[in-house]
Amino acid sequence: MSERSAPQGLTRRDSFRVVAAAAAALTPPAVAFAAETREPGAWAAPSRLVVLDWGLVQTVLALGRVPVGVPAPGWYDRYAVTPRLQAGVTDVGLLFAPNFELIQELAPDAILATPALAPALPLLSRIAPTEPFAVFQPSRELLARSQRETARLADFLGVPAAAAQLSLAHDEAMLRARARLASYDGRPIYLASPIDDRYVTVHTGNGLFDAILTALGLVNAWKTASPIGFAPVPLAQLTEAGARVLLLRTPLLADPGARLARSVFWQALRFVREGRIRVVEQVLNNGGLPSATRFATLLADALTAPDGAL
Amino acid sequence: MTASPARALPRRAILLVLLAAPALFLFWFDLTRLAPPEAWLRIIRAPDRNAMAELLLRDALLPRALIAMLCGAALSLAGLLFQQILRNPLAEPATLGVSSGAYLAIASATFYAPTLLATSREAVAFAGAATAGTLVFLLGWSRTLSPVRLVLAGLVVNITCGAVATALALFNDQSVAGLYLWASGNLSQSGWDGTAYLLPRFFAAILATALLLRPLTLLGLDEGITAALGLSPGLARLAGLVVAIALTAFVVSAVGNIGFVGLAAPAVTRLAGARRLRDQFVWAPPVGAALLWLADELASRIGIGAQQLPAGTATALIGVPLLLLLLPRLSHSGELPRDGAGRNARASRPLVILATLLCLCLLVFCVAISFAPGVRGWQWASGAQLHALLPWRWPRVAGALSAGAMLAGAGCLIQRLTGNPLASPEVLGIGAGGMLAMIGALLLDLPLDPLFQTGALFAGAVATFLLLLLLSNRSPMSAARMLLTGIAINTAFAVVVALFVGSGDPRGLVLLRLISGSMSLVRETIAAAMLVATPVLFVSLLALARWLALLPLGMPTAKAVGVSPASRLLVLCAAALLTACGTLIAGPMSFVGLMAPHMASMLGLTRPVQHLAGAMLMGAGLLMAADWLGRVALFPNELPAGIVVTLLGSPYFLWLLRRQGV
Repeated sequence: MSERSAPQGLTRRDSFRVVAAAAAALTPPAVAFAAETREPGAWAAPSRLVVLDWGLVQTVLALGRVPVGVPAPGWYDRYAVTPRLQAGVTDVGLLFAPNFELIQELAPDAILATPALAPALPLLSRIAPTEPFAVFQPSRELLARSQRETARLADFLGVPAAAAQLSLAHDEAMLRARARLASYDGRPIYLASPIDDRYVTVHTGNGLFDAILTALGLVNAWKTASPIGFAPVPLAQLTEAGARVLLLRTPLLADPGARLARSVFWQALRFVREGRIRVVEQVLNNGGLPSATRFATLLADALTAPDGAL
Repeated sequence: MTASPARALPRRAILLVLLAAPALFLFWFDLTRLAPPEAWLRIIRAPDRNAMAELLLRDALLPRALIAMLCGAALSLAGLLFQQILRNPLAEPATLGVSSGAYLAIASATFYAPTLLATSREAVAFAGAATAGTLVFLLGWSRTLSPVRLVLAGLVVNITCGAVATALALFNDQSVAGLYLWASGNLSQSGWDGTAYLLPRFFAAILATALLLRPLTLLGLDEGITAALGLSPGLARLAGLVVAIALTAFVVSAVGNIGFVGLAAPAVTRLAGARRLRDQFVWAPPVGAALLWLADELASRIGIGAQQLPAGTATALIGVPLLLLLLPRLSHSGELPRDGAGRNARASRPLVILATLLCLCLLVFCVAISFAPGVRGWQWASGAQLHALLPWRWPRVAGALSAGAMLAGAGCLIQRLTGNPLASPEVLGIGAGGMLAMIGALLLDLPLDPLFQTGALFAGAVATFLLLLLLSNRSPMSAARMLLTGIAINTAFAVVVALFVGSGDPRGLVLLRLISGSMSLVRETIAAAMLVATPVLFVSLLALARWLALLPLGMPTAKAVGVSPASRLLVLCAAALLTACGTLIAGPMSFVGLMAPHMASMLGLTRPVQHLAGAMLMGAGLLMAADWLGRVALFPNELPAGIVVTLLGSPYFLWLLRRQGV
């Protein structure tokens, strides 16, 4: 492993990447990084990561790292969809209820958490340095904040260039989506998941989906921003007559229209009568930049497809 | 004692008008806002299918008012039947597990059969309700359909269903919003399906109840008299219970959980002077109808974000102060059936039993500390490995041990104090009160470190306790009133939780986990303090031993042998303190506090000190075992101990119940 003594003139990060690339060719990445960080004096970017939030998991994966431990990885794949988690990542328990003993046994050199895990942070810090990142935080500047937090995360992981790349990829996806939407008729859009035949969850201002919608120059038909970015709303309140509705497919709701079809109010809504309904595939609604990118693409897909009545 | 019909009648009429008039006014106001009165008939007959205002009037507003009244009347009638048959003023539709059975069915369908739920919610809920009801009958069946046994079986099914549903929500956190929206009792309608479903069923139930009225009136009398009159008590009870369970199931499947109406409406009707069952049968349903209608009219005007306040929440918010207001008048009518520890055969060698319990406790302790799965499978930890794991394990094991002991101690005191088999620390509402303070802290975005949480819980518990004391200060203390107050607080707590989680707030999940009694965040300082406090409290409780022996005999007897009313207050204080400490760690689901004392007395530990010691050992062992099982059963997922203790203890409890033939 002579690569470890990097040539003079390269920055520490560069040398780290050389090491990482070479080591990755020889051994599974986690093991190689672990060996590398134990070497005194070597670059100490954390590499055995336990990541306790799905939005963070997808961001870490998109930054080119594979965590050693993640809560409910099976559910992660169903909800976040991309980037996929490779097999063999250890399940560290439920979201909001990580298994401390198991995490300790995994011997991570850093734990990534969200501010929502605040009660567990002091306990987690006993195992390894624990850093909260808010790659998803409902607010009006959600995307800007997500980019900032992603950059901070990348710095923490010692891969700042990857953050720039991820941002770039996101911006490109947004540009492509915008170009595809150039011919969109400009109707305001409801983003809704059905709850039953009376209520839908409407995605509002402060949320991730609304942020993408607005950034693409589209108009959210639901005007009131909820502090958490979504709100349960009675069907009769979807009164924006000229709107179009996008129903969000979820892992537990393969046919989002089925719950609504028998409601008289749903049938009375003008955009339903005129058949302005489309379906968008599952996106993690509290995810990071990868979710934002995914949603932009799927939104463009949905809005360039033909309308379909239910 | 009874008010004369001539005087009572106007009082009941006034009560009804007081509830119905404001509801009617608000309803009228909404109707006129949508369309002028002259257009109403036309709209009802032939609405413009594309005019939202006309559809709202015809298919939302009208059916909503009607279903509010129907559900209110149905729940009130069901509550009346339960209370009469089980001879327990605390019985309500939820007591027999019917509502929670429906809730569990809906919860399971939400996660495992969403398509089925979309097409047939009523059928799913009814299946759950009927299954739970039948299960209660099977478990609680005896020759005479003993009220006590049925209520206990119902309570156990109730708590178990609630625990499973909470566990489901914890494991499938992404889709709890819709579930809780339903659970919080939302009356908003989309067409006339719900009304059409409920109306014929309600009238069938009215008819059946009318036929049962005479035998049910006699049931209120002593068992011996009923038998002497040649009635088959079992058959009349069974018929009445079937009607009541079916009614509850219909309501729950149509609109979700609406608590408190079934408890409040019959109670209010009785307080307004309806003493005879026939009068109650005539007045309780309309009072319930008006109560729920008014509650819904008021609630639908209160917005929480984009969401209306659900009726189930509102009934509690109206009902709680109403009941508290009327409680002082209950002192003569609220005597509870007595079913103390004294009925169980006394063990011949109590010390041997206690020693065995202690050994079992130690065994559980050792397993909980050192035996668990890890990345490399199951292992007995020892040496350096144990040393590394100990900082995680000892606080939670110690916390479980002391919280279990304290909750069991509290339950023991409360059951002895009241002689009511329903009594448990949870019934006092002290744990729930603490949790309400905790929710307040969450909503105010106060820092969430464990010490602060503890502080909020304790403050809330103490405040609830002070409220209980204040209310009971106004007139001679009655065990029934105390328990009713506790149930009121618990109901308010449950709906606030459902509302909070249902709003989709991500903090709702944090709250769910706190409620379910997870030990994983217990800190060393708290665990150590609790570990010291447990034996100290036990020793101080020994001073109360004489009173504990006398109180189950009832206050008059106790007074006759020189026990002052102040002694009850002191016992109650001790129970509240134990509850607060236990809830700090185990959450407000104090099934331990209900079960452990029963188990101890079923083992023959009936003398006060033995009973207390046995219950505390039993509680400690139960909660430690629950915490351990919760850690290992679904490794690496952790099932909270509060939920496990329910699943663990209920079959054992039911088996004991059956063997003892309570």
